[in-house]
Amino acid sequence: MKRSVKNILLSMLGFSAAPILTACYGMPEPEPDQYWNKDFKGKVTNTDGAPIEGVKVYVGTREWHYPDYDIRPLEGYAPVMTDAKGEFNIHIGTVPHKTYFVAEDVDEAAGGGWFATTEEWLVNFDGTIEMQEHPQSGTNENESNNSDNEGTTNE
Amino acid sequence: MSKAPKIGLRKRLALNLFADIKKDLAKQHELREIFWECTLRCNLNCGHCGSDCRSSATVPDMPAEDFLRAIDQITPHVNPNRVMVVITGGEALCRNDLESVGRELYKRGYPWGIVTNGMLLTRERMESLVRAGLRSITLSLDGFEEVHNAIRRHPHSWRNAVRALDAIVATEGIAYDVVTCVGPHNYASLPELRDWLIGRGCKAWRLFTIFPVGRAADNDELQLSSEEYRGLMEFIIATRKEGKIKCDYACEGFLGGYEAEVRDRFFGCMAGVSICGIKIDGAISACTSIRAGFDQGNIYTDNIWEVWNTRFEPYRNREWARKGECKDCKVWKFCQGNGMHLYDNDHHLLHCNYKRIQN
Repeated sequence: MKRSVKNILLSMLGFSAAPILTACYGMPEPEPDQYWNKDFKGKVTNTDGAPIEGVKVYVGTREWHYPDYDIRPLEGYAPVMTDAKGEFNIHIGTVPHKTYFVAEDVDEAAGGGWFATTEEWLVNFDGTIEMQEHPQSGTNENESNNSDNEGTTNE
Repeated sequence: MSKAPKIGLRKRLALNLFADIKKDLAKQHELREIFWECTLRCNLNCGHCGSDCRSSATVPDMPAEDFLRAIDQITPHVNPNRVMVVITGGEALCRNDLESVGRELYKRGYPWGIVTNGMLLTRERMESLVRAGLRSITLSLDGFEEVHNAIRRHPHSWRNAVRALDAIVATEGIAYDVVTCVGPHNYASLPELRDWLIGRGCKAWRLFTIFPVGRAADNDELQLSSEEYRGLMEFIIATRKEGKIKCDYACEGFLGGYEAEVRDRFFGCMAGVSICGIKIDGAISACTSIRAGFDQGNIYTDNIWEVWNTRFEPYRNREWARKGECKDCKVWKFCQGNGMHLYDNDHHLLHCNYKRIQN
């Protein structure tokens, strides 16, 4: 019987075909997030689903790897701007830390005032992107605009 | 105390399929994990330690360049992104060049991590390790202050382990778990410890029992009774059902009806099948807790990649273990003689988890 068939049968029985990955004196297996080497596509829209052009998106990482530290641009990655469809495309190679996509409205008037402050997306290993609340949101005087102008992204 | 659950029909069918998959994996022999016993120095002197390390090791640390030379023999033949390097000891953090070794591994594309007692793990050291590419970490914590300090034989071991736990939990982007060696000394306090870990923000907890090797071989008082052992299994099941923390029993051995109940996956010892290891003296083995009688070569005299491909037969074909109490065992096909770390130097099984559950 082929391995794939055995895997399917095991799955149908409700069990995993993979062995235990963590050896007795070992650690849990991490997601290989530093080895993406792939393109990530995102789309910035407002709550009505309309695309927002001209939002600056950059790859960021925290100065230290704790939530109370700010996210800074990651060296070696140039920021990109969303196009008329609100879309952006960033190639991620090897990154040494947990990585965020950070979007900033560089021109609030032209951008429609969507961003009152910096927003962040956590990039998952499978390439999907989910929005993250900025830890410092609420400190900006335009923070109240956020509830009316949430961003969404799609791969 | 309830009896051990029997292996039901559905699980038995699945175990049969999985036994075939394990054969496939042994044939495939894909390297997925490399242990490195980087030092035998340790800043603790734990009563239950499975290692033979000492606080002031007479054995010198392995030079980083020797280890990296062995890694470089492997690298052209694997996808490093899929091969995890586990740095262990002794206490790995006793070395002050871990970050530079880590960066070298990272440059080559290997994810890496450490197993630590937390004595030296401050928030600053944690950040330094993460910047050097650390992606996973396991912290030992054996109970609350009195119990932990007693078994670790150090008055500050608990305080420092808690400091380490807080640093680990707060760090973004790493995999981690806390491991607890369960024995009579901490068995009764496990529910309280679980709740404390949850309150501390810990997301993953792995429970061991103490097996009779290393220093623990001389101390029967560290062993759970069979009833307590089953109680531990029931505790893990209840904790998993509660769902507030990811709780697993370690990969120790075959557990009969508890298989896939106390761990996500079925037991299968992957030592020498997908796990290779380099011991402090250069010996090529699998998990570093496996006795020297199973060493397969030495990086100072052999090419490790050749050894991986041409030796390791005792790990990949376990028929030699079908003797003694295993000879006529009805679950042999599923268990294959338990974990390799549970054999002595003469290839005799020291401990049967299945029998312990059945007693």
